[in-house]
Amino acid sequence: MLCSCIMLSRSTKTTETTLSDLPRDAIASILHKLSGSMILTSARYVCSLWWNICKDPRMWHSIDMDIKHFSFARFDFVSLEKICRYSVDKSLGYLTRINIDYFGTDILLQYIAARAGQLRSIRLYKCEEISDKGLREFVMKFPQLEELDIAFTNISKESLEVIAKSCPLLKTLKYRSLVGEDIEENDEALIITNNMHELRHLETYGTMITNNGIIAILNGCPLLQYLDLRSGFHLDMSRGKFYGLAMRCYDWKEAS
Amino acid sequence: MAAEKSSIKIITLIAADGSVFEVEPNIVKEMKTVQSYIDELDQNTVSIPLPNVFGNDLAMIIEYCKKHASEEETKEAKEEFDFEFVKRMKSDDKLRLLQAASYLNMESFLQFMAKAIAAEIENQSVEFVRDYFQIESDFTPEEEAELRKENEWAFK
Repeated sequence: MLCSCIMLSRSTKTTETTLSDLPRDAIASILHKLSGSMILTSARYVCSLWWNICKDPRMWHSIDMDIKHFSFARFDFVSLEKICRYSVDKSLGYLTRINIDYFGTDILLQYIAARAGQLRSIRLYKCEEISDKGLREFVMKFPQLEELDIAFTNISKESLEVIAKSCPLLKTLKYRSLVGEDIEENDEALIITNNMHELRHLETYGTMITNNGIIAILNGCPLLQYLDLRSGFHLDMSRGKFYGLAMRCYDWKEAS
Repeated sequence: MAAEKSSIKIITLIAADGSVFEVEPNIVKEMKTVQSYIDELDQNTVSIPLPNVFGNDLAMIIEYCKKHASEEETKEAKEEFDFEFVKRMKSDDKLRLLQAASYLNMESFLQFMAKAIAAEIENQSVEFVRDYFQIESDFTPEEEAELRKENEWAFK
């Protein structure tokens, strides 16, 4: 490669002209990669051009209503719900991903379900006002859901069944544990292996899955890459059993 | 298809400051602006002036294209390269490269630079963003007051 490096010295003036002349599509590409909360609270107030670009519903495709972006020192639950509804309205059906910390309710889920037909990913963190039934009714409306993160929520066996059957494309599933009186060892493993063949990431806490359950999951979910069953006291981690399981995981990893 | 018709072996790109770069056709594949120019020609060599791109920036873009066009490099090596590529850049460089990407009509490089810039301004204030892009607010004080009033929660 020839490269004669005769560089013109660039004056500050040139740089300024260059920067202010960023074309609209280039600015839109940047804005499209920002979170909904950034668009909401900052980016759209930069200048009139940015304000106009941010009117595009596609800029609101991802909404982060989490504590990192909206601290409780500044917002109460009522304001947070208002902001969330406002952002969902702005997305005009383009919403693909939403994150809600604490303030989620069944009614808010219904509001989102009615307006976000393209939703692929939802994370609900410690939303105590969301009921097991509310969650079931929500997931039933999203057969194309790919990520469901309710890592701090206990769910019933019925709900897990509804999730598994309603969302066959689920790639990531995180929940705390199954609760209820009708639960037996490996119920979860059975529901998961029979329905969730697209699963890549599974996380639960205090599961009743046993070693055989893990093997069933490895067989039923060939795409699985990440499995976290912490505090699963039904797992036998004694030396011989653990070794067998580890070998099985190794084979599975090699094969995949 | 157009690339097959063309018999061009070497492309000479001339930057705004006169720096000259000789590259093979596969390197400019992603530069749609350049591509549309050479598709119409039937000769062995061609010189293309790029008056909106400085030599330093063009050198970086070519370096990026070479890495990504290479079939020998693994996906991991390319990702590692991308990471280092933006790490050594100042914000001004990123903005100029974004603009060059837009001018050269390089979709994936444009998205790559946009992502790097978005990461720098995410969660930053309006003032930070204006300063970063050297943008003056063109809202009248009345308009701005109106906007803020409409969404007062955003500024609590």
